[in-house]
Amino acid sequence: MRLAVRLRSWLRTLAKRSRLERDMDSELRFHIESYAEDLARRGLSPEEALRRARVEFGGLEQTKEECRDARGITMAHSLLQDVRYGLRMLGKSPGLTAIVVITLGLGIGVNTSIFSVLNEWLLRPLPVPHSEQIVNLARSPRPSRLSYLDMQELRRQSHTFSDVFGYDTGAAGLSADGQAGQIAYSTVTGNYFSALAVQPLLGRLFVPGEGEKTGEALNLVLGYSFWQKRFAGAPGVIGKHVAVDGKPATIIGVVPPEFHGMLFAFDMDVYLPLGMESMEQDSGGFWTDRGNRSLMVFARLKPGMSLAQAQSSVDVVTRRLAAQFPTTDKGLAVRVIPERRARPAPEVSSFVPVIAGLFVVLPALVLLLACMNVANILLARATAREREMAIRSAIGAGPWRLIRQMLIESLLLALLGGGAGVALGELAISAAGWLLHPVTTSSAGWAMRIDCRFDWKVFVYTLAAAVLTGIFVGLWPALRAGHADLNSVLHECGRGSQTGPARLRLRSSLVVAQVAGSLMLLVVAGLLVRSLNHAEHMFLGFDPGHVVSIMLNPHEVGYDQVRTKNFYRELESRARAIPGVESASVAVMVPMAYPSQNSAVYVEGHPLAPDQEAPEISYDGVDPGYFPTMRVPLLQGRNFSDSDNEAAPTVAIVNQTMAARLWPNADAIGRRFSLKSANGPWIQVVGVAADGQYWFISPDPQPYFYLPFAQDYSSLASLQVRTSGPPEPMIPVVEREIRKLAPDMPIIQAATMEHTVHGLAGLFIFSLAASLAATLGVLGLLLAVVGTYGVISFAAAQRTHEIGVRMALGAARADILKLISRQGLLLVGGGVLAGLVAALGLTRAMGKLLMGVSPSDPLTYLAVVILLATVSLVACWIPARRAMRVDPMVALRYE
Amino acid sequence: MGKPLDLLQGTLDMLILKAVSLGPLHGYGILLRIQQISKDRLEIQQGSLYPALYRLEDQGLIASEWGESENKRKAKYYRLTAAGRRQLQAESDQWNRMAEIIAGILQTNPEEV
Repeated sequence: MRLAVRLRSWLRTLAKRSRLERDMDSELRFHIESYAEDLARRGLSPEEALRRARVEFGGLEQTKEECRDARGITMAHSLLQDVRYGLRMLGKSPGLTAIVVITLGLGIGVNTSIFSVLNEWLLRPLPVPHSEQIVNLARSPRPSRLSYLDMQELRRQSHTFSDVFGYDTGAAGLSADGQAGQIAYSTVTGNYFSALAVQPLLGRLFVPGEGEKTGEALNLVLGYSFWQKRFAGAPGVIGKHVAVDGKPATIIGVVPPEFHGMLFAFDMDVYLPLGMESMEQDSGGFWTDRGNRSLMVFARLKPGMSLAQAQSSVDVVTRRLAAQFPTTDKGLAVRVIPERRARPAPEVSSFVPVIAGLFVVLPALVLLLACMNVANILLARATAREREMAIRSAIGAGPWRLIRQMLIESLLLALLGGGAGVALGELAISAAGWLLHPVTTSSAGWAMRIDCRFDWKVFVYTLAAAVLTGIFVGLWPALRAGHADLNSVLHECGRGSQTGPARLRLRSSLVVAQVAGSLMLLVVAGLLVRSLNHAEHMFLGFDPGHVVSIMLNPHEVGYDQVRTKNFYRELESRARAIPGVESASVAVMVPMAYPSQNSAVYVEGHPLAPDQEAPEISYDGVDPGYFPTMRVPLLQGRNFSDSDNEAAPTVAIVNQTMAARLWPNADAIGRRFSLKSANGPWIQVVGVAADGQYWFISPDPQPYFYLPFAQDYSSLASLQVRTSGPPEPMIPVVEREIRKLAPDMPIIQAATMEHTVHGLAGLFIFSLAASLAATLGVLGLLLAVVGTYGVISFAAAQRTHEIGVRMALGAARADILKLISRQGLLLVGGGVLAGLVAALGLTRAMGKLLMGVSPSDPLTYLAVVILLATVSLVACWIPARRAMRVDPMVALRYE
Repeated sequence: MGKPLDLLQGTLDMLILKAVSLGPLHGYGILLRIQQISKDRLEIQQGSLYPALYRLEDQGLIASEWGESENKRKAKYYRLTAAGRRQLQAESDQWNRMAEIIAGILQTNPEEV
């Protein structure tokens, strides 16, 4: 009831504010005049009576302010007033406002854009109901995949999941209406959609059990954007007959637009049943071989079930499996990981989290630098406004009101900066999409998703950043304003208040922090740029210059094995005949273009210990032309030859690391290993090749081996051509040759090796990190320079009077220069020292990202220190020079 | 008559309620009424009266309306509301109890302890 009364009074007064002011005026006037009349009646003159009445009444404005406070109108109304006043103040100094807004905008914009990408790829929950229940069942240690049979056991035996499902991804050719094209697909268990609770946009999705048998008719579900792109969003696609890798299939449904599949950062074109997976694997062991681990397995927790409960029930199942099927499942362990923490896919190289972390820390540092800069500017402004504050407090404004005024102005600035940041961030993201476009095409036709829209999380993050900035920035000047000492300020009137040693100290420490922060940014940027430079010039294990690689898959248009091998042989000899071609070869894959195949490797004569697993090693199938065409150095033994065919004994060429690891104290040539079991069949090592980079660029040498293409057949393979001239013009020439040979053959990918090396799996991540860090580093340097310049010139201006006196007393100009620049030197020196310590700590975490550069690389540190010191000394020198030129007479009259 | 006493902290509200309980008054009238019934023994800061009035009105303890004063001028008159009457009752009871206790303490003789 009381609250209601107060609320009504508050609303009433707010609505009738001007009437209230009028009423208050006339009420107080009535009081004073009535009192004056009484005093006059006691014999005072009317003027004297009025004067006495006014004096005895006390401060009129103060009383009014207290009355307004009592009415509770201050909160809403005066807030409005403060905002209006604040906007007016900002409009009064447009240059300063613009600098602050742009500084903050850059800080916030960088954060927004980077957070958007991270959010989209790593943080945003799957767009399915109760996404927090979805967990990844990952075999540990890596690789994390499980076999179909083991997934079924988990589904059957664990009672903590309402569903267990799995998927795998691949690329295939899809032809419809006489047009063939490349698709990225997921093969999924029948219960994939029902477990995720995804509803069809059109038609129907798979049902549990569907497609989990060989020989079932092939049905397929379309991804939304593929449906839009390929079929123009036509609803008539349901029931349409198409061909996937030459096999007839029927479209049964379309998923809703927000669902992209479960592989982070990618958009699936098509969803196929598991039957497709078993067809792709020529061995046919998919359904029956427990060791055939090709599925990413996920589960939905029953409501209320905890991770720990799920983990212990999974442990029971895996222990049972290990005991029951020791040949395949010995030592099997499966970890239950929340889906979001299983991103990016566990197989993806381990430096993704490092980069993600770096991309969070560096922009935050820039935002911090921007905040410090703005705080610095506002502190300087607060000094200039001290008089205004003092006068406002003299006419009755309480300290809280003044603090609030300053805080509101800062918040307004922060919000404007936040707005600018969102706009800049949006710009940066569209630029990133454009920037990443050529890269996405070099990754086997997989569409990387960069449609990072601003969802509420990003918005809240930005807004929080802006508001926290506002509070941080506003706090100091506001507190100062609140404690402004009326007397001293008014007495010192012209002087712009006391020189404020405390404040200058604060501003100086801000400069030290800024120099330190930008030193850290520059060191990180410098290390990443040097690492990129090193990675670009390091020996990749092959020579990417003048090589074109074209990836094909004759299987997609229905070729069988014999026809495919003949096709590649014919294509290779035709390519060699093209003028300008030095050599040609066929290989299953080239580095950084497509993920390598892995296999367990059993070494002859080295039986495994009881609980030891055979090491998984990546390999490639190549023909004899590969080593000369790619210029992979053969260090020992011989190259493959045409006689290493299907009928000949199986042979291999291993790289240095594999040779050293498997046969540490002996010559590898002539040794044998097996991919199947500890009892053979054996593959004999005939050569040793130089180490290199394979699927991902990695600072550590990886073991690797090659098999003859004839003995390790794959339909998906690529043709390499080494040209004598520039490689790009050769691509259409070779493509014409392919068309002549097989007119309907889809070309999965055609690129120069230089392009591939700079692609997503190659140097892209390094150049992305380097260019991002370099941008941030330049930004940080700029902010530090502005901050240093601001403080030194402010300090010099404050000492104009003192300088005048010194010069009048005979100080030389050089002394003045020394006086002012010494202050700058101290600040920059302190900042550099603090920054060096912090940078040494920060860069230690980046070890994995650095190729051939130590995290404490002295050259980088030296260069950064010299650059930063030079630039900030110039920032000190300009105001110092100005101080030196001060005319003593002008300076003494300065006040 | 000695020097007027400063008002005890927090008692102004109670005095205002008491003053208007005797009949509607304008602000200046309240000041005069309090001085009159205290026989000028209390000193009230004139400026502090109005914030108190606005606060009491905000709390719904008094209500105001514009009327004509004895000198034929527009003046704002305050009267006690039902809630104000209850509040005044409660506050004076509490005040009396407090005064009694304090007086009792101050009058205690050594032999009574």
